[in-house]
Parts: sequence; structure tokens; C-alpha cells
Amino acid sequence: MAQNRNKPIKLPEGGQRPDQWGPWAMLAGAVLTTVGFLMAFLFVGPVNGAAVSGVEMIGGSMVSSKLLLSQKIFFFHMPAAMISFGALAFGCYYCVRFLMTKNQRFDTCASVCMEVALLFIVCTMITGDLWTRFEWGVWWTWDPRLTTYLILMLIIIAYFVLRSALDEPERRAVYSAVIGIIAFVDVPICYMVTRLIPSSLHPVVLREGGMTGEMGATVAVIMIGMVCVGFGLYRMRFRQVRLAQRVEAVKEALDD
Amino acid sequence: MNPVLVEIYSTILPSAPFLIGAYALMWCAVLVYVFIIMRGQKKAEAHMAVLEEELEELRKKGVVGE
Repeated sequence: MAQNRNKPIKLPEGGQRPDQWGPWAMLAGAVLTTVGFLMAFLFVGPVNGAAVSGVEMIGGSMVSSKLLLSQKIFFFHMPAAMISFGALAFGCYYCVRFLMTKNQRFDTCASVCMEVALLFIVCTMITGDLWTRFEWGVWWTWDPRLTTYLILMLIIIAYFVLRSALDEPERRAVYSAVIGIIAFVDVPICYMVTRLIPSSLHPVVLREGGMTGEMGATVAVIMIGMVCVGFGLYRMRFRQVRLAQRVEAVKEALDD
Repeated sequence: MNPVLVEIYSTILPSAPFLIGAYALMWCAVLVYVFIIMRGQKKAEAHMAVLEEELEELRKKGVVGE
């Protein structure tokens, strides 16, 4: 006990410079996604659907098919999915770093990355499901991309169930790191499944050039905005979790 | 109204609730997460302030190390 009293207290650090960028990144993300939203509706023309029985002149061009407003969901759906993949990649990196070093800081980084990934997966699911409901008349279909993405979401939910089920920090971090790496294995499968199974309902937009220049510019603006939002959320959450860990460390020190 | 135009615009209004719902729910999800972070941050900061004061007092008394 006497030794404990004189021992310096090692507190989890937090609030470094990148943490201060969090709110600014969020602000930049909010501005860019708002600009992207306006571009999606005001700058990019509606996509053509099924042919109609005639031709009409609209806005200086001949239109002979239905105009699809529902396609506007795509402008946020695809970037949200890409950010979820990115967050998982960082999560996997931190899981590997944790397993190499056993530094609890990396475990915290990984769990925050997983939270951000889950948030963007939920956003992707919401936007995708509402589009599916309108266009196909169903809430869910067992399309390969949807199925692999659902599996990804379930693995991440399992990650958090496991974390809440284990009390011992070391064991919890090791098991979580393994699940985090397994989750990332599903990312390339999910991404490549539309190429591996061409019958998939999801189009291969990037490689096959399914977007016009205006669409590409809009997606790029929203993508950059979402990267900023994702980074901002990550830093803000990381700062909060580290502060909570500091509180626990100080409490323990006072108890000693 | 021109029947061809009616056909061209036939999916615009029916899809609007789904489009609005998609954007609204997505931003709601993000805002809920931001709210959770802000609440947790305030709570942790309040705890930290109290504990650091207590720790400082104990340090002055020489009960804990620097």
C-alpha cells in the first residue's frame, strides 16, 4: 500500500491535437454534405427509367422515359457504404496493432472505429432499404451484396455483444481484436461480390462508368464530406472514451 | 395535363416520402450518435473535474505521488 501511494499514476492520455480537429472536421463535413445534397437535387438531372409512350421536351432536352427521383438516394447511399468499409479497415489495423503490442489504446481505437463503421452501415441500410421498398416493392431481398453486407453488420453487432459480455479488459480486447479482423475479411468479399456474381442487382458503378460527370462530382463532394464526418465522429468519440477511461483510472488511484 | 408528361413524372411524387425518409433517418442516426458523444463528454468532464480536485488535495497532503 505504501508503495502504491508513492507510485506515479499512469493515466490514459487523450485530447491530443487530432482530437481538437474533430469538431472542425464535423463542421467541414456538414458543409460539404449539404453542398452535395444541393448538388444532387439542383445540379444533377434525374435519371431515366422505363420508356413512356411518347416524347416531351423538358428543360431543353427530349425525354422519352420516366424520371426517377428515387435514384437521388444513391448519392448518400454509396459514400456511406464506402466510409463504413474505410472505418472497418482502420478498425482492423488497430486490432492488429493491439494484438502486436497489447496496448489498450489500440483496443479503444478499434472499438471506436467499429462504432463509426456500424453507424455508417446503419445509414447505408436505411437508405438502401427505403430505395428497395419503393423500386422493388419489398423491404429485403437476398441479393449477394445485401446478404454479405448484412453478414458484415451482424459480425459488428457480435463484436459489441462480445465486448459487453466480457469483464476482463485484456481478454475482452484480444477476443474483440480477432472478431474485428474477421469483420474486415468480409469487406473485400462484400465489395467484390458484384463483380464475382454479375447477376447481382447492384451495378458496378465505378469500374463500368455508370455515372455522368455531374454525378461523379456530386458523389466526390459527398464522399469528402462523409470522410470529414467520419473522422470528426471518430476523434470526438475517441476523446470522450479516453476521458472516461481517465476518470476510471483516477478513481482507482484514489481508491488505492 | 399532357398524358405523356403524367407518365414521365409518375414516379416523382410517390417516391418523395421514401427519399425524404431515407435522408431524414440517416441524419437522425448521425445526430443521435453525436448526442451520445456530447452527453458522455459532458458527464466525463464533470467527473474528471471533481476527481482532479480531490486528487490535487491528496497530492498536497502527500498521500499520493506526483
